[in-house]
Amino acid sequence: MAAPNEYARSTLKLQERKDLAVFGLIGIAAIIFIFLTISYQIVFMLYAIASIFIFCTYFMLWNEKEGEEHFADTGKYPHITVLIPSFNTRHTIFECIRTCKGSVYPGKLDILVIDDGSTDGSYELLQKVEGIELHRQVKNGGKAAALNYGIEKAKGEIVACVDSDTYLAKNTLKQAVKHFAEGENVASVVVFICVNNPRNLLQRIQELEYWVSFGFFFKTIATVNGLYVTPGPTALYRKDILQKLGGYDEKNLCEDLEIALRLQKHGYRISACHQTIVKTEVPDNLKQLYKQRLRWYRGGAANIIRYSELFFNKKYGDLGFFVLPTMLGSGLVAALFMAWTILFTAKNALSWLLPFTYDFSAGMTLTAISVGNGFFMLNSGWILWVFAICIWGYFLVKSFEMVGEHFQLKHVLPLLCLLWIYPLFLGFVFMVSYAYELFGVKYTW
Amino acid sequence: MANVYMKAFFLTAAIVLLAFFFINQLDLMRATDLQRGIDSMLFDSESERLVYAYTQLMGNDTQAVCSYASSTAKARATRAYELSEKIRYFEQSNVVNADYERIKEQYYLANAALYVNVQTAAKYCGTGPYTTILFFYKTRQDCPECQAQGAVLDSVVKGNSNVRVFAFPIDTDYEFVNMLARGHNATSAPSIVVNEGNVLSGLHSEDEIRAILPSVTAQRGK
Repeated sequence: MAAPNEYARSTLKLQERKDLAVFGLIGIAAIIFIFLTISYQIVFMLYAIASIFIFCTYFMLWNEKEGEEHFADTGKYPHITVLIPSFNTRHTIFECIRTCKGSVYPGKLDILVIDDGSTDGSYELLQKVEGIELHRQVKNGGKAAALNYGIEKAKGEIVACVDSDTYLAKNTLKQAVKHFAEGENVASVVVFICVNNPRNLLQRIQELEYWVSFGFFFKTIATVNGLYVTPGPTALYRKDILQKLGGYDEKNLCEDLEIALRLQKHGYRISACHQTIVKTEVPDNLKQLYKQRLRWYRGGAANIIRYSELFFNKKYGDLGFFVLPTMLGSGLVAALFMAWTILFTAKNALSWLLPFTYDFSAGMTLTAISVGNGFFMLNSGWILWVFAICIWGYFLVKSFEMVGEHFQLKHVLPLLCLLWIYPLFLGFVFMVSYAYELFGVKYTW
Repeated sequence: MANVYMKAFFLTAAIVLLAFFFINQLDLMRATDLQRGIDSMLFDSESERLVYAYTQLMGNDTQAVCSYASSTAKARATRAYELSEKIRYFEQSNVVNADYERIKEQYYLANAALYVNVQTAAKYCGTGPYTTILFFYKTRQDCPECQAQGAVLDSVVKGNSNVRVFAFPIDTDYEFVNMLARGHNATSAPSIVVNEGNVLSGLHSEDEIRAILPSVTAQRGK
């Protein structure tokens, strides 16, 4: 099945953000500075120590708050309107609608599909589907615009925004809606998003990534109201709050990130529900994944600058002091490290071309001597990483518990890729996203 | 919440300390391994020196001693190369590099001892186990000619298994290296000395070096 990955995007052009170029320049200056002054080993170790600290913090947060997520059935089930924006999604939307209709929800529930000017014939097919309310935007305006339209039309007190390639579980709405009872200021509830039916290695890697990110990390940061994104695949909102804040930003690359930061800025809470799992389609090839992540990172960068006031602001507590800085920091460091590795490798390759190894072995590389003991090549700095990975392994175990999976042989290869190759890939995309900002490459979806 | 960060900080400190314990152990293992290799090289040179001294003293038959020397000399030169490679990795891999300078100095000393023994054998037995090239280079200052000369020597050695290079930095404080350099009037880098012959300063091409290799070897045969 050639499922389109996530919401098929329009060709909406957005304005450039040249101001981000400054950050790109700072990044490049930093790379050059690090490259010239600090040894690879030291960078490597500092990176490891910072990671250990961040992981330890998550470990502490998890253990302090574990087991607090219990909600009594209040018997209150507000009217929910499920909003499904659709643009050329004939391969997935019918399954999506089927799972929405299959929801077991004691309160009132209706499903509103907003066709965003599809050209693949999905609108005509949707017209035949019973039990949904179908609207059509003649001109393709993008996902956020379609959702905004849906919010205006929605009759429910709660709107559940569901991507057309995402499949709800029977209990998703019932479980998630309970979290609104935590308080009037809970504006949004996010759910545990997993990969639907992974078919190849790349999707299996993402499956593990989603388990850890949307599982362990989301649950942990939700305990300190640190959620900075209400993921596009599925998130529930109080409609009146969304309307009060003006709905989704239609000119944003990551409208789900932007709306979450806007809710946080206005002092609302975002809660996370992990008693239910929704499944979403993810990119099945590198090119799609690259495009998706490039959009996330570019959108992320733009939104971080837009909401920079949240950083290190007492008002926003752990979100401002820990969650956002570490999120940004880890991306930046990954990109820097990637750039640094490229430079380092290039330098070594260059030295190999113009033989440079002549501190010791001047005239001595004759017989390609094997050092015999491999341990001479094992950088001691790796030991720090072993510890960091062990703590991360604990997160992985907890994530497996949350999904109710057991670790099997089939998880070994994706796990190794997730640890070794995937971060390099993400670091690379992060770097490219900055380069794009730097050279003012136009935003396209 | 600040409490959590404090706890995380202390946990991190504990983990990093523990990690450094293991790092130190690994680094020590490498240093010990190298030290053992250098010790064994020095021991071999010392025992061979004793054998020569004793044979000379007693005026015994030199045949047995010389065949022993030539049979072990190449293997020892190869071990010296191995050690130099290990030291290179040692510098890159170790976090705690306190021993690096000492090990490096001892390595040069052991290598110099090997060189002196080979020359002794050449004098004593009439012919050395292989052709030697002394190579003086600079590490502290940028010396692109040294790098180029090193590459040329590499390629010379690759094409001739009967040649061994002994490389020493002349911009260090190692007395025995300075003595070697002074003894050959090698004042600049790069300089090479083939089989204790005349010093060749500056960069020399592979062909130039190859050209003097056999003739020098032949002269020595006299």
